[in-house]
Amino acid sequence: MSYFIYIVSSLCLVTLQTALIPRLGFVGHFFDLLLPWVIYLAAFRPVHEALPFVMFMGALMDNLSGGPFGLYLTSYVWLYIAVRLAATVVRAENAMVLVLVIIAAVASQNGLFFMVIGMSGAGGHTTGEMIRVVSEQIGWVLLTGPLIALGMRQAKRLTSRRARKVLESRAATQAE
Amino acid sequence: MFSKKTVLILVGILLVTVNVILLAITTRRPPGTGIGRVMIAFAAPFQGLATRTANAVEGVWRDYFFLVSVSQQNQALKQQLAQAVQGNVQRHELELENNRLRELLGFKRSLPGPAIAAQIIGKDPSAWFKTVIIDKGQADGVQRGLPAVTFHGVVGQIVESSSHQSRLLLIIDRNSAADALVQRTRARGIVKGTSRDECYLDYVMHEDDVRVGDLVVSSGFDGVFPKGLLMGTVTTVDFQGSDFFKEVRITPAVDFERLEEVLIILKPQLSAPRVSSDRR
Repeated sequence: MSYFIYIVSSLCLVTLQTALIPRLGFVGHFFDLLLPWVIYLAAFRPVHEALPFVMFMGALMDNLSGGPFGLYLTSYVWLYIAVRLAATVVRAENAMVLVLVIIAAVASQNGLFFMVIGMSGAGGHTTGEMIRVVSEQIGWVLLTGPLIALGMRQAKRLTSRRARKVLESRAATQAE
Repeated sequence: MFSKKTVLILVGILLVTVNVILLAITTRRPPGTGIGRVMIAFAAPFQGLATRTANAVEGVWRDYFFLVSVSQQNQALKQQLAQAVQGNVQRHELELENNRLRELLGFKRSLPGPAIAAQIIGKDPSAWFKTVIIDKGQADGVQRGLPAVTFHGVVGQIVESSSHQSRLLLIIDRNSAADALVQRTRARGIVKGTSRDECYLDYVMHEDDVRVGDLVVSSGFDGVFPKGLLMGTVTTVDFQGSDFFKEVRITPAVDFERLEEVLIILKPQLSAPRVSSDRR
């Protein structure tokens, strides 16, 4: 059931990102909407459930992008690991922390892309342009991040409540 | 002296007489004078209040039902207007699509090989790469390496194809390269993408005559794009005396931000269709 929800949600996000947002001319460069999703999975979901799905999302995005295969996969998996480690020392439920983590994720994903583009020797983008694009993306995170963070918290609470109910019903069954 | 009964009769006769006299007097006098005015003045405010209240209640009652019907009518009219506007927008969209497809059809006839029209259904999720997903795949005869064009010029080539969708690498992507010629002087170079909305024409020899405004067309030597398809217009030419090659930038003929449909040339035969300078 969880995987079904994950897949449907990611497909919605991918569709939004690749087919709908590009039609809105005023948006410009929007950030990768799957980054908050990866952060959520890393911060609030168990490894056995989240990691395979994060890898699936990376592969999906790599297939949709013109970049080298593995670029998104790499960025998602490393983001997953970094958030997982950070969640042991930082309280991830804090909305401000979540927004900052999304900003860091957007910046580091673009950093990885620049690095790979630089390694390929293709060149093309000027530093000024890169800064402009990343700034635009971070601007969108600042605008939409708080809502996303609230959504994450709400989703976390709902899943915790559901998990508690399942545990209680199991305990009741065992007691009978 | 008088009995009680007699007194009552007398009082009755007196009252009737007084009454008749008063009636006689009042019928001869004009109305609106005396006590009548006082009474009117006394009662009028209450009457006015009552009347206003009743009118208000009646008005509210009547207007409510009236407004309900007006509101319903308003809603219906708004809905009709919205439908009309939507219909108008759709008709306009169809008209635009029709024009684009006419252009494509006209252009398709001028192409050397069979071609299939495809719609762009998705764009690259990353800002740093320029690919699009189209709605035609192997089932439609689309394969890796086939060129995509529009009435305006060269779009790119298929880099990946599934059964019903394909990924198209645009000529503005940094990984794209296509052999090209400057139409006026036949100077040769390689059109390379920058992942921005412009391309470079690389490897143009320093002695070649290239000027701003020159048209750049595909040469057909790369084995992908048919010869003579418009690729772009030269916007800047930089050259230092010691350089071996000129640095030439071109603006692509195709507006990639507004690209919605493309033609995939299924079996490119590398001969030239007609190229006009006013396609964009």
